[in-house]
Amino acid sequence: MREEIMEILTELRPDVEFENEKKLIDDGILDSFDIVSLVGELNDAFDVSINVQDLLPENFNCVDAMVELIENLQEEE
Amino acid sequence: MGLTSLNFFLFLAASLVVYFQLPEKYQWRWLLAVSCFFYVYCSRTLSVFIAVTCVSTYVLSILIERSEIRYKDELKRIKAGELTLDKKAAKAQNIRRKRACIWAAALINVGMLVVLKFWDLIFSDINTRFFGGAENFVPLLHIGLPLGISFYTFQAVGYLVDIYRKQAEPEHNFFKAALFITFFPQIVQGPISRFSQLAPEIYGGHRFDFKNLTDGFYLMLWGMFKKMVIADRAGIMVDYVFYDYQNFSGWQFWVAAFAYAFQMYGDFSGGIDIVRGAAKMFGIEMVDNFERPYFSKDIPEFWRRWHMTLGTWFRDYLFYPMSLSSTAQKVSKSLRKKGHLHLAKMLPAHVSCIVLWLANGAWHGAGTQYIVFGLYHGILTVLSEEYHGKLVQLGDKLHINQKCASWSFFQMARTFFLVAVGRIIYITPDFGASLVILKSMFTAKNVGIFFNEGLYKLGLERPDFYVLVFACLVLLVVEIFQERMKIREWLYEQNLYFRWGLAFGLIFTVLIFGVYGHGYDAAGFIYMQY
Repeated sequence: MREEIMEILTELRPDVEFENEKKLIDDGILDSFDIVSLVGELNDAFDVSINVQDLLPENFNCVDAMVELIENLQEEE
Repeated sequence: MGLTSLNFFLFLAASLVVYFQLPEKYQWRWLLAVSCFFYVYCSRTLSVFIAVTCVSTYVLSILIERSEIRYKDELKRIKAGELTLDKKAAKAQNIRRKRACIWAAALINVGMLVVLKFWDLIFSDINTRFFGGAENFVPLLHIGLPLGISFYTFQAVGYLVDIYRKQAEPEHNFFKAALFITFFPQIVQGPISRFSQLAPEIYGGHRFDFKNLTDGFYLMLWGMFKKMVIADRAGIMVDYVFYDYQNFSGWQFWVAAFAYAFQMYGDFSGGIDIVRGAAKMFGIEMVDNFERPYFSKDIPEFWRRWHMTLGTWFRDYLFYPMSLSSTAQKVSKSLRKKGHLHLAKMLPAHVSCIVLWLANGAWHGAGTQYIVFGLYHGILTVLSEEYHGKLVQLGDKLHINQKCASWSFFQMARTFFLVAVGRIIYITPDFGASLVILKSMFTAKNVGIFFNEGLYKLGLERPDFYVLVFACLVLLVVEIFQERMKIREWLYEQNLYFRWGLAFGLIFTVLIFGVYGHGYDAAGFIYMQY
């Protein structure tokens, strides 16, 4: 899952070193347009439904947080 | 009671004195009392509208919470086999109930805002066009706008949506919830605070702290400088040129457009500094609303740094829900299946962005020019998001050093230019007039005004013009430093005489060079009646 997320992120923003970034939202590296595209891609790739209430900085600040969010959503569903 | 009036300072001083005499657990009650007094003093009978917002917001917040409690109870009973409902149905019912509360809040509060703001504007226009007189067919309300209606409405609706999304807990004490909506410094022109940030600040007690007092004082003073020395002086030129636009042309409009950029910024951000400074004196931290927006390198960045709390409000409560709605996701999925990968990725965000900007335009006023203003910024934002990467690649191919200072300056100038042009769209009450002005600006020939004293014939005499230019330069220099350091923190490290010298210098600057209107009161704030 992690590799697949990394692939989506790198395709979305090739200019960002996602492995090292821990504050993608807090530092404004990903903007709202990126988030919308990313959520669409993640929903499609992992068959989950990321809702607006999931759009918290702590869920998108780094790759590991995204992995955790998706795992939680998969468990819920 | 304007934020720069003597009455306001007396009111603030009296509120502070009593606030710090009270035990901490009673301080929030005093804040509520003075906030109610402030609002009723400023709005008189129109205060009834904020009272409706307070009551409806409180009731609906409790209803949302009860729905959630009921849902959890149903889940327990389903698990225990006491209820035959399935989990998904219980969840759907809970969402339906909570959504009904949000719709009710929108209907009541946004409904009041829309009716009060637009009814008279729209129907007087329709009456005049089709029935020969402003009052000839649909009766007008003539109620006026309650102070800060859009700011407190947005704040109240945001609070309810946060509870709906479980990002905030509802306040059970009605009076505390009312304080969150009516807190007096922010009521005039924002910022639009989030409950999770402001609630602990206003409900918790604060001990008197001299540093908070001086910090707040510096902030207020700086805000007054921006408002009274820059914005109100630039405003004289702006009114003079644009309200009588037939008498001006070309470069005269460019100079006035430049002045307008400083007027808007000085007025709004100056007001916010006064608000934050006043709150800081109580020990209350409020979110900032401006982050030196004229240093932005593109339009999306500009809007992330200008009126930030409105931007994040639109993003969180309009842009995300729209672009992540099931309809948007279905369209995106279907496009992806058809192989339109890029379109699938971008379309929901682009469409939502345009809708958001149309709403933002409408928030500025009713009329074609506001819709065009919204579309202008919506389209610029979409284009910027879409082509930013490609432009960077093009720059690389052309061997342009995109990291050097001159390139950054070019980007800032380009953004400033686009924003200044955008404001011309709505500066006159009639969109046709704005087009005439824009045409004249882009075919400007009268460059001679820069050499033949023409600059001093735009509403400001030579000394006032110099004061304006000098004050804008001071603002620019201070903001360049602010990009690199926290100026107030730096000030505290300086010698006491230097600090007080600077403070007195600023006080005298405001007193001597501030622009005063009737009764030595500064002009009203532009965003006060939004």
